[in-house]
Amino acid sequence: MRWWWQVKNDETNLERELRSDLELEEEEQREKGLPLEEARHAARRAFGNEALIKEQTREAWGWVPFERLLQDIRYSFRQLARNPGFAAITVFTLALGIGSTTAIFSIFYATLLRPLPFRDPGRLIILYSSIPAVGYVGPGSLTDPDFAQWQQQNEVFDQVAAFQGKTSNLTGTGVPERLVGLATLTGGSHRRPPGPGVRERAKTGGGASWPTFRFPKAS
Amino acid sequence: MGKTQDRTALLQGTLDMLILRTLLYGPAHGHQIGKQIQRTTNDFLQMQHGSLYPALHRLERRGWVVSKWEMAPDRNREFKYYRLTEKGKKQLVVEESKWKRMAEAVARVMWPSAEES
Repeated sequence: MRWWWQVKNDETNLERELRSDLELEEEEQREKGLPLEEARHAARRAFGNEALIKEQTREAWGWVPFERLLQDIRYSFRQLARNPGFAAITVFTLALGIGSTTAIFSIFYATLLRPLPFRDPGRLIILYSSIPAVGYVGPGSLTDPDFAQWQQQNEVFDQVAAFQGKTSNLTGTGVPERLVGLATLTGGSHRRPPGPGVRERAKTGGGASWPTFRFPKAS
Repeated sequence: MGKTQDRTALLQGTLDMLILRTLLYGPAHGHQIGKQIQRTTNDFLQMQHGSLYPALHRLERRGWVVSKWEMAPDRNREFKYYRLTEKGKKQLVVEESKWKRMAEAVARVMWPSAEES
């Protein structure tokens, strides 16, 4: 609000300044002997384009970009008020756009961006065996003895654990439930049991490091 | 139109300097500054003196001049008087030396023999 007063004040001030200059010029022209009307015209000619000068002076104040922005905003609201149909479609389009972007980002965040609920998730590593002889290099399953050996020979990781995708039914007195998740197994009594699956783990929010796999030593 | 454009192009970089120089004589209002420049240049720089005001306000914003509404000594009326500040005086020196170098550079190109003789 103070800003507005300032602008109003500057505006009146400028008006007064230009007016006094014009009047002076007019007086000088009259002293030269010109009749009133002619003197007024001559003064205006000598002065220049008043509207343009005001505009350029305002520009020097530095408010202009802000004023233009306000004008644009006011103008757009007037236009929207004039065309309610267009306004409705615009609002709807915006809502749809914002909504879908949010939804897509939520999925993107949950699947790709959200860090795993462990301390130093960047240090988690998945180890797997492959069988190049038969051309199989993808993540493969592991036998119990192999896993036991990997654990025993571990020297570089905090912990080594195995996991398995698991789906099972939970039944009891209530309505049975289908559970989908990861089951983790671990051995080695000196190591901390990895606890329940990833999701439960997130809820309990344990601060301990998550077990990791490692490659077996070349022997 | 062409004539006006020649003038404004010439004035573009130098108007600030001319105003500051004129104010060195003492405080003056816009009309006086315009007339003063016009008179001293024998009407060669006969700009529409309204075009001074954007420049004056710009100079004020930069702190090179300050303005105040004051009673004119010779008549019973208030005018907005502009006064040179210390900062403005320094700026005048800067602008002047810039202008001198510019003029010398142009002169060297235009009249090369005069330099050598």
